[in-house]
Amino acid sequence: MNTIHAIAIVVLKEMIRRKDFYVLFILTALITLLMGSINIFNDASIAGYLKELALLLVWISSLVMAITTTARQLHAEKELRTIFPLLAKPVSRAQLLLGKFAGCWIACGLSLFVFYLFLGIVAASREQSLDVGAYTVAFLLHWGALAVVVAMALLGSVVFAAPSSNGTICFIVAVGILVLARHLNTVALQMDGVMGKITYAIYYLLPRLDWAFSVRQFLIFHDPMPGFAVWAQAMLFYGSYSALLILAAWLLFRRRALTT
Amino acid sequence: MSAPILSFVLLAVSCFSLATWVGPRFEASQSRRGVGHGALGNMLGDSRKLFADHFFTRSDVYFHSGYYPSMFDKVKLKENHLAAGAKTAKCEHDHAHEGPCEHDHGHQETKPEPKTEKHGEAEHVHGEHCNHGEEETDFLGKPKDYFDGFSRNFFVTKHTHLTEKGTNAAREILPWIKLAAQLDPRKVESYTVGAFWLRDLKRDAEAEQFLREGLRHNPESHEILLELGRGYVARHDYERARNVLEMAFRRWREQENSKPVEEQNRFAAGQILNNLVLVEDRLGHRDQAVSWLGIVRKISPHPEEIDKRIAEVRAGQPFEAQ
Repeated sequence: MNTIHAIAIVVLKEMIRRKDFYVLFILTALITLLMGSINIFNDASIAGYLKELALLLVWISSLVMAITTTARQLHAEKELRTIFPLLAKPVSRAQLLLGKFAGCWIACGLSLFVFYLFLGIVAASREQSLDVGAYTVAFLLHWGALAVVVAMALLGSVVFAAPSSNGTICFIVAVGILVLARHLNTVALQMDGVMGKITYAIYYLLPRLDWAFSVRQFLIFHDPMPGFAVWAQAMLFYGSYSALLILAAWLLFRRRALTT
Repeated sequence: MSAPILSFVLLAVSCFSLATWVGPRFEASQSRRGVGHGALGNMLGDSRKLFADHFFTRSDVYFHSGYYPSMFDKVKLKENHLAAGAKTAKCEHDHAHEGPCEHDHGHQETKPEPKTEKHGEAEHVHGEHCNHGEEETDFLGKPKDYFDGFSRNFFVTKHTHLTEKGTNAAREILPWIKLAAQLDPRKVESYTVGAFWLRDLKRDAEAEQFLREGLRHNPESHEILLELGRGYVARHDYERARNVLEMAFRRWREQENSKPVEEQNRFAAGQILNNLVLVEDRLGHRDQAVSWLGIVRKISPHPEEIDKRIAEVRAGQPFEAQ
């Protein structure tokens, strides 16, 4: 456990040193504030469009951060050859993967917290009220979904040769899931034969990142968030899916030659 | 002069001549395409109309608090409509041979009618999914599987309207309408719908300003003039309302008179004329009001009702716009 914790701390410190988060945060804040400064029929309390835009930017930023940070972890260790002394400590490959996962996920969570804090401040300044509970649920679901994304990128860094290809593929898959996963069953039912069955199977196999993505609507339209039981099931789903992906990454990584 | 200098002069003269020929044509083509209207217009070109449509639909999504069919749901609905249409066609066939059948005939529209619905009018904010049939109000249907049922906890599955969420909640629609109007200033609906909601929010000055902006881009639009007239009627500024509404009716005649009766937007004409009757009535010009009612009678599907109104106005009873 200490080993995993130590590796995670290293990843976290690296994230703090790098400029990714700062650039993404400043960009998000700038675009949001710029859009907020637009005069819409002299009404400064309109908040829906601003929340929608800010939430979209937060999602994009979080995906970029989670994928790019995770995708380069193993490759950087291999390229700098620091993976050899690390594994000779002794640190097992499973511990290395778990440490990297935990570090990336916690780093994503911390940066996500800053994003949501900013979002809450913007929304509260416009609406003169803030539903902290709703924002907390949205944040936790978002963080849970990022666990799957981080695990997916970690698996990708074992499968793919370069961080760039891994990052691109993970990003396409994640965006595809966010946009299409919810409708895949409708599409499958409109298809005939084997293709329909295959599409339905894919629908069942996909990690449902869209659940966390869709709750943005509740924040925008002030609808009640999902109850605790539903939220807990979703988090359990994300946790289980992440565990499966990490297991798959470990199965592939445990016998893989480290020399490139 | 040496040959190189002469060549250079010839080249410069050719370039100048070409520029004088190309320049005006390029400017003419740009103005035809409507390019050059702000940074957005320059950046997006003609595709801005697509974005404008998208953002206008977005305002409708907001009106329905996010309860809106996706493009996949729309395909499903379209298929259901086609199936219903086929069923109706089969029934019509069966009627000829076997007698009546029992299913719903709600979709049976075989004869084109003059446009009398509110589509395109300011009150009609809905987009493509407005309630034309039972299945469209519940486009989600029953959950198809466990995952589908569980997923419904994470998005809006209850049909509510922004207007039910407080008196000022409808203002959330406005940014999208303004954006749609900026992207496609020729989209008349953006201005009429925007003005309707602004007036609903008691923002008459902003509504008038927005409509005047729309009128600058669409000087031929009778819809915008009608909305402008309505605004003046609401503010009891009857003289200006009359001028604007008369202009609206002139525009309507210019555009619609040449069309076949079944293609004419008679609902819009009815709206303009009703408001004109109201204005003349409020100004005490009963004869003029009756004269306008006479025109309403010609286009109305219920002339007997209009006769009653004419009698009421002649008897000195106040006219209430229908």
